[in-house]
Amino acid sequence: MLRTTVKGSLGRLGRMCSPRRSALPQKEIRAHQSTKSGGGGSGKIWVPITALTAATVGTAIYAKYDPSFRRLLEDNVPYSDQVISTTSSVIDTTTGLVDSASGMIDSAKGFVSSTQEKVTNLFGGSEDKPKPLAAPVTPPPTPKVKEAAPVVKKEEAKPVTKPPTPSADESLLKKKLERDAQNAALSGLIKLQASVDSACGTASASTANAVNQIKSLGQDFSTYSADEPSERLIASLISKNTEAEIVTKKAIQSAGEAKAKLDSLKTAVSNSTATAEGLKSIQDSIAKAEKQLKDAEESLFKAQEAIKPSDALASQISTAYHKLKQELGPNWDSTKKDDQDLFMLLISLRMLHYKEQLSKQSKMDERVLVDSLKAAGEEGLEERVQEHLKGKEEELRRQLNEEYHAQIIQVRDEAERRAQAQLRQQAMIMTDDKNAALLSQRSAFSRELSDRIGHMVQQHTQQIGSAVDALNKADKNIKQREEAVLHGAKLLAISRSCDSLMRSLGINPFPAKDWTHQRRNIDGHVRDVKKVFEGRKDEFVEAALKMLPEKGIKNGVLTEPALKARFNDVERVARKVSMIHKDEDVPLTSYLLSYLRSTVLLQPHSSIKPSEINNDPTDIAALDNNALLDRAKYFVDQGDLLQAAKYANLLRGPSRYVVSGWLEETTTLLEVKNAAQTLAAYASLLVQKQVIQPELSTPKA
Amino acid sequence: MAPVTMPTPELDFGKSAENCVTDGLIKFGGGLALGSVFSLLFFKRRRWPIILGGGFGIGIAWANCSKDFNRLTASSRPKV
Repeated sequence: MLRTTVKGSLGRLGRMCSPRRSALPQKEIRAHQSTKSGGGGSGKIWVPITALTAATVGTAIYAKYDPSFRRLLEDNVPYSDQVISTTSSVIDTTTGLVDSASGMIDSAKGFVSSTQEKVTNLFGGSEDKPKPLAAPVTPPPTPKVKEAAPVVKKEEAKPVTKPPTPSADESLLKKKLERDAQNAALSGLIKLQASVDSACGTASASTANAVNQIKSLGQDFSTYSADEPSERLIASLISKNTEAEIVTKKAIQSAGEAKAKLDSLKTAVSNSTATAEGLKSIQDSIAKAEKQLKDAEESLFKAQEAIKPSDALASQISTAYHKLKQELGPNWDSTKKDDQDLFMLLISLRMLHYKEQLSKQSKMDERVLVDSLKAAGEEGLEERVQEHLKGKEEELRRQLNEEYHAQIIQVRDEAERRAQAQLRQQAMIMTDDKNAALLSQRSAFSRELSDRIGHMVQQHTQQIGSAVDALNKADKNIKQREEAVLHGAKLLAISRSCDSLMRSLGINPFPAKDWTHQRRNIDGHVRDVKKVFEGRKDEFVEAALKMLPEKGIKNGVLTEPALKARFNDVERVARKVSMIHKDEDVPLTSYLLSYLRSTVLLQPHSSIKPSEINNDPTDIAALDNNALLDRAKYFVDQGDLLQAAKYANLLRGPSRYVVSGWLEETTTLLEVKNAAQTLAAYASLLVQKQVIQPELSTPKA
Repeated sequence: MAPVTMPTPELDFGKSAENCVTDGLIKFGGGLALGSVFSLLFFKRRRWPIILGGGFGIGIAWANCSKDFNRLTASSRPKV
């Protein structure tokens, strides 16, 4: 603030000093300009923002109510679904708030109106007070609801001391509403009545059908003759009985449904708000339907009772059933239910028939007896009639019993025959089953046996095959072993020949002759080695054979003693020219001087240090030719031609030329010895690997 | 086994030396003779042509001997 003040003051001062500057400070001018421009600019910015916002909100609201537009937006505009859902939630919240506010306003209005009424009632009330149209409509007083209305009115009167007096318009409206309600109730009742009527009609029709069926069945029962029974007839009777039962059940069910509908209609009528006039017709129809249902039920009952056997007959039939069951025993239980029913029906029909015949016969006998008695006289009529009747009765009873027993026996025989036939059939079936089972078992057994035999044969074949394979393998191994042993023998021979070669290289073949005749031929040895390894590609042997110098194979190799002897001559000559170390042309005087020097020098020229002998690091470059020759001679005397050759190789000048021949021969010998040693060692190794311990050499699987 | 011809460098120096001596004697004698001839014929029996001739002979023999020895050792020299 201080800074701005200072700056401002300085700026003012500057402006004061410079006439060109404006009176206002730059910042103020800029601020003034910015506010000026900001006012207008902000206005320019807000207009499009407001328009954009309004467009977005309007689009979201429209999308809320138009699903297709919403889908279009969601498909084409990213994040539109989120915007729409957010807007919808905001709108719903707002409407909810509005609804709650309106509810609160309504409740407030109601409170205000109730308060006004209270106040008005306190001061006497007014008939001209206008009432709101939204007042609840009370139900009109009906004859049935009359008892409840005063109670309701009393309950309503508790919170309100005096009901308001409605105006004319409101009473008309109320009446209109009441009439509409009554009409609606009536129409509902009429519909219900129509359904009840239709149900009653259906019930009565089904009952009539059932009655007809039962009556026809009864007629068939009555016309049935027990003298010529037939299963087909009895079966038709049973089927008719079944049909009659089904139809009867349907009739009872439809009657039950009609009754239920009638009860619901009664309940609706009792609870209805319609007028008595409107309800009268319905009540009449209810009464009519009840009567119709009752008549149908009675007719059905009568028809059923008509064909129902008497209690005595039923008891007799049940007794006969039990007796029959006892008589037949397990045969009765083995028969089918249908056969049992058929038989019982037959029994009952026959009993009916016999009963009718008995009654007819008894009537005829009575008539005859009466006539005869009338003809004979009337004294003691009653006793004689009684006696006659008794006799007849006993005779009939006996006859019936006989027939009954005969029937029983017949039935029993039939049942036995049937049981025997069934048992025979069952036995045949069982036999067939057992035969089939036996056959299947036999086939299964034979299959299993053949499988087992095949499996065993296969196993044996496999075992034999594996044994043959093992034998073949063993044979192969033995042959390989034999080959290996033979090869091993050859290898041993090679090893021995190499050893002998090496030994021979240390011995002069012609001891009486000089070193020029002491050459050993190695061509034969090389041939032998090549022969042993003929056919076997052995890189090691090939490399070892390549190590042998061609000259050595062609011309032979000087033995060690020969080389030692030669070295003496070589050394003597080399010492004569040992003074010359240059590898270039030197004058003859150097040679003469060297020769003179060699004649006066004592041997050895320089002693060999123990460190050199122990192979310690030594400055070899400091040694001259004489020293080198001393060392070479020392190692030649020791038998170490390799070391002697190394020292001889270090000679310079004409001395080098002098020892070159010896060096060459020594190198050849050493190479041959090396190759021989290598081949001998390799042969021994092969023998060890292939013959002595082949199991160590074979790689483990 | 029949003797194989093999290089014997150690004997070559002796041979060269023998050749040198032989050659020297021959050259010297020849130089003497030639010097004698020249001395007799041209230089009124002076001694110096004979000595000169002898000297020439020895010199030539010297040179030849030197050449022989160097030629011998040339084969064993390391090739640059």
